[in-house]
Amino acid sequence: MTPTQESTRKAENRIHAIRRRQLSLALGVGIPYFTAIICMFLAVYLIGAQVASVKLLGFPLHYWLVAVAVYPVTWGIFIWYVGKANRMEDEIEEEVM
Amino acid sequence: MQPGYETPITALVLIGLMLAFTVVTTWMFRIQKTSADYYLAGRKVNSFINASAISSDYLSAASFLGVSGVAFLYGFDGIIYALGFFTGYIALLLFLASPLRKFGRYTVPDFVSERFHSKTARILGVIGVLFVSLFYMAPQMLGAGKVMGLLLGMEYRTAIVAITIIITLYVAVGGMKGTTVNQLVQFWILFIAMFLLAFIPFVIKGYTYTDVVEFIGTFKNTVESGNEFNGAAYTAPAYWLTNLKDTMSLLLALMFGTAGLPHILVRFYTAPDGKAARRTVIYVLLLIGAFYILSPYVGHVVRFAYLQGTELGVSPHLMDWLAENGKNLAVPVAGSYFGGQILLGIVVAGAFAAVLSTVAGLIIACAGAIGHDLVVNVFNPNMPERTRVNIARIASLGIGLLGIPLGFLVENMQIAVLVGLAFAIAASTFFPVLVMGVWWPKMTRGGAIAGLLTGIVGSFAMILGKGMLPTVLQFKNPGGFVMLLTFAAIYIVSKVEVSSKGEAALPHDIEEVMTILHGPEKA
Repeated sequence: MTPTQESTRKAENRIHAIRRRQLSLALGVGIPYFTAIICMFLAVYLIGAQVASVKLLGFPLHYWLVAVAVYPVTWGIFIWYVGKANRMEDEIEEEVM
Repeated sequence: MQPGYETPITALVLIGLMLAFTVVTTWMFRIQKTSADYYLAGRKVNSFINASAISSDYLSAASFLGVSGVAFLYGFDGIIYALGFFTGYIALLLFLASPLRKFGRYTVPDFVSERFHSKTARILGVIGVLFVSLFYMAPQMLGAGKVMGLLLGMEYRTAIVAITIIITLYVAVGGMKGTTVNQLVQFWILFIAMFLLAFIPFVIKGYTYTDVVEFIGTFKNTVESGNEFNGAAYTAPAYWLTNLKDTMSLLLALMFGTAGLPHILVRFYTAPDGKAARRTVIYVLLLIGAFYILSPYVGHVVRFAYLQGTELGVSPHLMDWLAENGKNLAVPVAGSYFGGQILLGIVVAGAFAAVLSTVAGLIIACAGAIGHDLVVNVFNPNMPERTRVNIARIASLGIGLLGIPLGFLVENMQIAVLVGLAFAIAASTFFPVLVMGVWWPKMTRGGAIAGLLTGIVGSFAMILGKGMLPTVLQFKNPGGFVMLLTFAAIYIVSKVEVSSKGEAALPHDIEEVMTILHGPEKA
């Protein structure tokens, strides 16, 4: 392998490592988040009567979960995620430059 | 016009003011020097302004009129639309916003064509954009036609023609730059309208969400239409979504369709860089999240008022509107009932803003697909800039005017359900192809074409040919099901190609493309 081929190979490996890091972060947050949303919805539908009978501050639990709580929880998770992803991008920039 | 109903002058004045503003802004931004100005506002839109414009693009008639409408009609089950529309942005944020911006092309067909070096993929991309956008445009026209027709006592079809002409001229002249400024203002009109619709009953009248749900949940009686209303079933899950297969497919389509909507994706190309694209999504999540908490409450509070009717002083013509078309008119009724002419005016201006901004975004996405992707890139890549802008304007005019037949076609349908179908096509066509194209270097040209074909043909067959399919393949919304098929098609075809041709099956510049998509922007 010539020095040019060697350096090209190294650059390619570095990009794949960066891609895997970014993907791990996205999947690490995305898979639990979407699984939680789908499971919450499934639970509400499969055991609807029991869920509907539970009340929290006078409001049925299924309304709390699907119509209210999901929003602030999502905001919190993804504000954190964007900070983390953008910091990772800065680190990558520093490593490469 | 119904007896007891007078044309609301104040409401018309407010709508007139909004239209006047739109005309002035469009005129101010009429000069588009390059096609990048026309399609992408010169790529210099800051995150908050862009987020307001994206939210305005996104909060269409389906969100503004439809989410409250389905909550009014189906109670708790209707909230699935708010949840799905909101979480749709997460997939976009996680997997696409930053890489697509870094890739830096105009449109989705641009991406598939340049990632896989395939004219076939570009043409299929154009077909996909048109398919999704026209499905999305139809319910917007329905919403505009119903609300404006009702307000002015105008025939539905006349209202459709008038609205189509206004919107088309506005986009054809203003392009993305004029559209962005207008969308910023339009977003705040429709957001304030929804806020007031929730604030007045909740805070001033004291109808808290808890009280409203409790009252409806215990109501069991015959209503004005003569039908029996069972409040316990209405406020419990599975009142409308009785089939788990349908429910899951609809939820998946709504959750992943946003990340495949061409008029939303094109917006991320207007951000200055990848990090700004991510920040933009966070602002969007905050803005639309606040909106989606409020809109199902409004649907419920309208049901609450409707059940009590004259006891709460709901006028007969509002009761008639709800009985006849509550699924699409719950929001204007709430405006009129809770805030008289002024709130009705703000609400109708909000509805019109929702339609105007969304249809403008759709027209620009379609004009990009036809003008930029088809005419310029497939037929004449050396076309001068001036001609490209003119082509974009002509394409905008053509697509805009299609709003007329589309509006006529869907006159008796329900806004939110129709938009759900546009999400189904987007989730099953573009989302899998974009996600795999961005993150999987081993995806081949054949895989991309197979994915696009599966998404377009699969969703087309399952929506329009539903009646001809066996029961097991009939879905209220087939998006989730076809999306899984598309992922499978991409994976299998790419694997087969790579195993038979080796590395030669991959695009020659795959490493460069991966560097652009994932590497640092300043390198």
